[in-house]
Amino acid sequence: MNQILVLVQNTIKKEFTNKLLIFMFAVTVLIIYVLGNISDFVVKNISMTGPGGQQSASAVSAAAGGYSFAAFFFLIQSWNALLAVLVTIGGIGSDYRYGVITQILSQPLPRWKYLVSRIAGSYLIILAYYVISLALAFVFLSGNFSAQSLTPTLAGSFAVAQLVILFYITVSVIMALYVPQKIAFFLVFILALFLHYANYHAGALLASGESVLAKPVLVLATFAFPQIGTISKFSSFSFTPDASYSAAEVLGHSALFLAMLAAWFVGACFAYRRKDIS
Amino acid sequence: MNIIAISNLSKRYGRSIQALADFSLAVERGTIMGLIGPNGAGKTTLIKSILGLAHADAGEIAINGITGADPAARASIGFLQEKFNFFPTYTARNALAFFAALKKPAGVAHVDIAGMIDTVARTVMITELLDRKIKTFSKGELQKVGIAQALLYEPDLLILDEPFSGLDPIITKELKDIILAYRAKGKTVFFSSHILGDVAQLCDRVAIINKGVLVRECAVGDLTGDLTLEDAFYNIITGKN
Repeated sequence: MNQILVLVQNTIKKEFTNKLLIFMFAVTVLIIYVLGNISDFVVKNISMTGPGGQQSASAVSAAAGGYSFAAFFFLIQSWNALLAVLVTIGGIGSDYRYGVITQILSQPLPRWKYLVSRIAGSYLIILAYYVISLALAFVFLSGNFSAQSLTPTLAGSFAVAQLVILFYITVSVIMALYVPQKIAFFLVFILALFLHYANYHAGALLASGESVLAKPVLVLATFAFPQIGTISKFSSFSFTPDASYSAAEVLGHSALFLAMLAAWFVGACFAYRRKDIS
Repeated sequence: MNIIAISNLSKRYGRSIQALADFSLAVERGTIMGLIGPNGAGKTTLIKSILGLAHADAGEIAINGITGADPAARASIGFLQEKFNFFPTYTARNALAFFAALKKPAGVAHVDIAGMIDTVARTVMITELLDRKIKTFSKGELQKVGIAQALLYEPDLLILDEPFSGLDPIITKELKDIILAYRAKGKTVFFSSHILGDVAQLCDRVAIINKGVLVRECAVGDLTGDLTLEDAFYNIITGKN
């Protein structure tokens, strides 16, 4: 069996029983339940007081279901970033904590394969969590929410959200190789927050022409790192009806984002090749 | 022919610690070589360098004629670290299956992994432990699982880092028998140890390392003469000849 496949399976096997993951899933189900109740409450009250009769009640139900689903979708996208970081850092951390890393890397295995496998394994875990959560939300929240609600915009959001997850997983892997778990966790989020800020403000700063001390730093952060701020914005575009992004704009940024993420990953592989394992 | 050829290896940690200094050593195929030295002498750094886990600042290593920088060189090595461990929720069988799949030579269509696990489990006498979870294992039982994973695919070279450390006399005896049986098959064993009695009992040759430098490499008998290995080692390290 291919070494990458073996390690991907290992990542999934050792992390799917992760207590944190199970806890997060339980919280997700609770959120779905609460949102479902809120939705029911709204439908009941509006259709009771509204002037439109039965047909109107079903329209309200569909709308409430759609909004609940949309709110949940938005929530879980943020939630997934947290989960991706926790699962990935925990996965790499356990390799070191149990001393398994020494045994794994003493095999005839190039180190880049180890890194790719851990990223792929973590991604598949988060993807499964994501899809199961969305499916549950779709079933329990949507009410009369029809298949017509599954618009290309929603599908686009879902696709772009995968890039966001990949970003958090890749950065988490890189951080976890070099610093202790808790520090890695904070560093990932500090970096992400900084990049978000840089992405949102670099354009305005460039346009303003003002000489600001932070300007070169923000511009460098925007053009030397994957633009997570921009991609996060695209991933939630189904909830910002006034936003109008062309498909070309989204695709172009996504391709650039992936290329930048890949470049950083390749750099990390080169650095990790020379790292002493203790 | 030498299965390990190390030439002019140097490794420094930071500015102050010279772990290996112009270290050269050859290990002949079909022998058992013991690597001994005081704490901090560079034994573990040397073993990690051979396995590609530590990167030398200078020098070269070849395993079976393949440069140590190439991961393929490790295909002919079975390695056991001082404290073998694995993910606690795995059974010993699953852990061995994981390593067997990871070590599977490229280009080989099918390997009977289940059969191979049964064979190594019989060799190291852990057949009855195979379906127990790793988290329930004692240190000695874990080391046995570790030696079993090292023996998968019968590699040409076994590298063991302090294999007898913390083991009870029964498991120590069993491990020694495994090592001797492996040499009898024409395989090579290279191990580090602080337990000089075990080194004297098992090894054909011994290499003494101190402060990252190879102090002596010879047949055990040539080193000891009328002395015990412990006395000979003490005299060499302290300079009292």
